[in-house]
Amino acid sequence: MKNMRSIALIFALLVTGCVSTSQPIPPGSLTQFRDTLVGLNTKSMQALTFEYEWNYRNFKDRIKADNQSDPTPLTLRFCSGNYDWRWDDCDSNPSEMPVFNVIAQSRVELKNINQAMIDYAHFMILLNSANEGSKANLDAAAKKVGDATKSISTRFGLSLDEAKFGAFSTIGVAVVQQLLSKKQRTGMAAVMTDFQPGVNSFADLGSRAMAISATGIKKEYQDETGILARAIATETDGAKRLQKIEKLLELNEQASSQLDSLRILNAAYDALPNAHAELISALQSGQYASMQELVGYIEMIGEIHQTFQNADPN
Amino acid sequence: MTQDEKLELVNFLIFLRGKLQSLAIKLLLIGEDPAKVDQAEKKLAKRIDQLRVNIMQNWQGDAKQLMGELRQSNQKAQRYLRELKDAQDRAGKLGEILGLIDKGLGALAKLLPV
Repeated sequence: MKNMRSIALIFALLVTGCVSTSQPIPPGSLTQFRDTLVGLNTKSMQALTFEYEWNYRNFKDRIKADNQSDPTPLTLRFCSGNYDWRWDDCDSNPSEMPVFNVIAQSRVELKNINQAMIDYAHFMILLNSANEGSKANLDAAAKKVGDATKSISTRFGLSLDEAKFGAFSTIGVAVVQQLLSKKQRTGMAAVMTDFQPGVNSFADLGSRAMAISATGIKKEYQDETGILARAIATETDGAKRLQKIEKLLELNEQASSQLDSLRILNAAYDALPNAHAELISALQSGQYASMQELVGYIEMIGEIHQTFQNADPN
Repeated sequence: MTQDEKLELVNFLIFLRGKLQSLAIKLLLIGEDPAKVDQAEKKLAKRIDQLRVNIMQNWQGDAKQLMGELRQSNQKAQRYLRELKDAQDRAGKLGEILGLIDKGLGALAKLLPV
């Protein structure tokens, strides 16, 4: 009978160190977080493309207006790396580089950090659902525990009713699941804590990229509309004047809608640290809920242990 | 100068440039030569571009640093997945241990029938 008590004690010890068998964070919250990051990645790439296109268009217009005969400044230079290119001498002052060239590089960097954050969200989804994925193994392990317990009880000639046996087998399932769940939750809490400063920096970089891009769009808009506004002021032909005004209105619409998009993206980046903090509180509130579940298990174990004691033939 | 201050400055220079562009057009409309204003506006536009490039390059430096930090965090995260896998193995072992206890008790039962 001492063995039975020891087994019950092992179960009790395992369960007291464990938490909920459900996924630590509501799965929908994590997929929502990941989808936000995927959306931000796509839209922020588009946003930097707006600025790139404005600058590239104005750059080409200036080259055409210069009408220079020396073609050397017009050829691309491949200074380093497999994919790097620049529209300038390799040893020229970086601050003199065409802006679109720098935007192209920023786009690569932003894509990299966006992707790193999406990978992080994928990882959390995987970690969050790790128990579900390995449920077959768990069930097999739990069945072994239940069968062994039943077999041991039979050998000792204990007559426990089926309901109690059923409950004991359930505890076996719960023990192995909760053993993993504790690891899962501890791991998730540690990973999220590790990533919190990264999420803050990412949000800061993302929102700053949008702000930098907004200054670019305003500047490029001025480049293009400065010439156009002057042409409108000096145009004597009414029809041509109207055509130019239409062009100006079109550019106004383009710039204002792009700035609005950047403002929305900026706000989305700013909101990310809070969204991440909400995921952490979901994890914490899950721990609180599982405490009640845990108390339930301990009571059940106590009850079954008492049944064993009462049934002790010695 | 911080990145935020640089952003604030570039926004202010853009605002000033808009003022210069409007002034040049007003001079044109009243028949005055806007050449000097145009010259100042072009200089300002060049400064704005230089500042934009500078801000973006600083941003790229910060982005590279963050990528390094994220890689480190990711390595730690992978360790937790490995630990979880170890725990799964342990859960399987628990069943095996209980099976062995069962066998041991069975042997004991043969020696000392209840």
